[in-house]
Amino acid sequence: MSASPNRPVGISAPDIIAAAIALTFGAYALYEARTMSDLGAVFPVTAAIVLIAGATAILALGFMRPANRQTAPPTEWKRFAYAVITLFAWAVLLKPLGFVITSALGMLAITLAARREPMAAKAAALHALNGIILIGAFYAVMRYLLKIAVP
Amino acid sequence: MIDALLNAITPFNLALALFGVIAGTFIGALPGLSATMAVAVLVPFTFTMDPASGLIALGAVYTGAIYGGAYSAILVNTPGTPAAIATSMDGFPMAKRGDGDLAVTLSCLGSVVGGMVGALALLLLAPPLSQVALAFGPVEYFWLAIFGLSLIATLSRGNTVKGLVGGAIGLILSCVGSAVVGGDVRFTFGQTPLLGGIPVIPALIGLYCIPVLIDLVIKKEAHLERRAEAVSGFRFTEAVGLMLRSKFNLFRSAVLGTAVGILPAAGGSVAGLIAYSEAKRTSKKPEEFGHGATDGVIASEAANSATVGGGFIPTLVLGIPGTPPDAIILGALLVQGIRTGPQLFTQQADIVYTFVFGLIIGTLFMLPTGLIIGRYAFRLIVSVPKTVLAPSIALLTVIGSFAIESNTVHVVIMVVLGVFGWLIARVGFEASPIVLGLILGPIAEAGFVQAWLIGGAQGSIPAMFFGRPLSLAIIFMIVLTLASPALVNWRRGRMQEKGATP
Repeated sequence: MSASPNRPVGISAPDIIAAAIALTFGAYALYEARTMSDLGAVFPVTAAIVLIAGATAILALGFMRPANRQTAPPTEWKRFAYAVITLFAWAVLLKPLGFVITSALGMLAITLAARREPMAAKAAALHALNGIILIGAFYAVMRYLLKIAVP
Repeated sequence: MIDALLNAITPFNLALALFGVIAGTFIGALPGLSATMAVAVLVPFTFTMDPASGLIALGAVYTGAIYGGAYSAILVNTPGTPAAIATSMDGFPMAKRGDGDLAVTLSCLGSVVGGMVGALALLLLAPPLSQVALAFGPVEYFWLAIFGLSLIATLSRGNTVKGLVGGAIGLILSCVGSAVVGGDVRFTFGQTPLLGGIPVIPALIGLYCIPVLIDLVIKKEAHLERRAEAVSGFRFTEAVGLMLRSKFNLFRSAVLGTAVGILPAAGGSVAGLIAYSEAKRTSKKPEEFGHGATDGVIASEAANSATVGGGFIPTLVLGIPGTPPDAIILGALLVQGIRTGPQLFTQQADIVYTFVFGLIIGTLFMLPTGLIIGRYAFRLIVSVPKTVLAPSIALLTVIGSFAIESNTVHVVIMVVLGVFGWLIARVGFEASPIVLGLILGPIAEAGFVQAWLIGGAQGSIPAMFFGRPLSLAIIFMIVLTLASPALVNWRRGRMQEKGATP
C-alpha cells in the first residue's frame, strides 16, 4: 500500500487510539496468562498476539496511508455524558429502587437528554402516557406472564 | 401422511399456528427476549393439549421468534435475537436510506423460503441427515468456530485489520470467567459476578443497541430516512423481483441454514453469518455489502429461518437438540411421553408428521403476518419522534438484559459494553467482529481443548486436528474464505487487463 503522490501521509488520531486500545488489551491478556494453566492460556495468548500484531499493523498502515483530512461533526459531549450517567444510574439503582421507579426516572432523563425544543403540555402528557403504558405493560408481562422476579 | 396433514389443518391447530407465529414474532422483535424464552414460556400451556397440537404451537412460536428478530435488526440496528446479527449489517443501512419497508418485506420472504426448505428437509430427509450431526466431533466444532471467526475478514467493512482486532477483543471477552476445561479463573478483576463469564444477550444488546441509543440522544439528524417519494403497500412486487434475481443466493442460504441447524450448538447466528459471508464472497458487487445490499438481508434471513427445521432433525431423530429452543421442545416431548429416536418416524409417525405439517403451515402464516406487522413497525419507527423512541429503546435494553436471568449485574455489563462499543466505534471498530469472537470463542475453545486432550490420549495431536476428512473440508472452506478477497481482486485485475487490451 503506497500513498498517493498528491496527498500527504500521516497517521490519524483514531488510528493511534485504536492501536493503543489493541495494545492495552493484548498486554493485559499476556500479563494475566502467566498465571493460567497451559490449556487455559492458549486462547488468551493467541488473542493477545493477534491484538499486538493488529496494533502494529494499524500503526504501520496508518503511516503509509494518505492522511484522512475529513473532519467528523462535533460530538455533543454534554449530552453524551448525560445519557451515559443516566444509563449507569438506571442499571445500578434498578435493584434498590425497583423496576417501576428507576424505569420512570430513566425514561424521563433520556427524554430530556434527547429533547431539542421545548415541549408543549400536550406533548409532555403524551410522552408520559407512553412511558406509563410501556413500563406497565412490560412489568405485567415480566411479572405475571414470564414469571420473572422483577425488583 | 395424508391423515397427518388433515390433522394439522384442523381449525384448532391452524389457530394455534397463527397465534404462535404472531406471539413469536412480537417476542423475537424485542431485544433480549429470545426465541428460547418464547418457547420456554409457552411450554407449560402445551401440557394440556394433545402432543401434536402442543408441538405445532411450540414450532410456530419458535419460527415467529426467529423471524421477529429481523425487525429490530433492520429498524434499530439491534438484532432481536442472535440469529439476526447478520441481518442488521445490511438491513439497518437499507432502513437508514429509506428502504426499511423493502428490507422488512425481503426478510419476511427470505424467512418463509428458508423456513420451508428447513421444514421440507425435516419432512423428507430427517433420518439420513441426522447422521451428519453424529459425524461432528470436538475438532470439527473447533474448525467450524474458526471458520466462523475467519468470516471477520469478509464481514469487516473497509478495515480488515481493525475487524481482526475486534474479533480478538471478542475472544478475550469470551475468556472472561471460569475456563471451559481446567477451571482457570480469567480476567475477572476479582469480581464474583464475572465468574460466569460475559453473558451473550446483554453483550449483544449493549454492543448493538446502546451506540444507537447514544446517537439518538446526541445527534440532531432523524433516526431513519423517509423516502422522498411516497411508496404505498409492502413493496411486495419489488421484493419478489429481487428474490427471483437472487434465487441462487436464496436457496444456497436456506440449504446452508438447514445444514448448520443440524449441528448441535451452532444455531441461527452462525448460519446467518456463514450464509451472509457466502453471499458476499460470490457477489458481483461485494462492495455493496454492509451498505444496504439486499442480498445480505435475503441470505441472513433465509439461513436463520432454515435452522428451525434443520435443528429439529437431530432433535427428533437422535434426541440431540440442534439449538437451545430445540432443547426445550425436546423436554416438552419427553413430558408428553414421546420418545425421540429413529423409531419415532415409524412408531409415532402420526404425531411427528402432524407436527412437521404444522411447522410448514406456521411458516406459511409468517408471510401475511410478517408483512403486516413489518409494515406497521417500519411506519411506527419512522414516524415516532426521538423523544419517544430513545427512552423506549432505553427501557427495552434494560428489560432485555435483565430478563434472561433476572440479574441486575447483566444490566451493568450491558451498559459498560455499550458505552465501550460506542467509544471504539469512533476509532473504526465495529460491533459485529467483537460479537462474533464472543459467541464463537467458547465453541472454539471447548472444541480445541477436548480435541487436544483426545489427540494426546491417542498419541497423535496433529492427526486429530488435520487427519479427519470433515476437518479437512472445513479447513479448505477457511482457506477459501480468507483467500477470496485476494482472489476476487486478482480476477478483477485480470478482467480489467483483458478489457484494456484492444
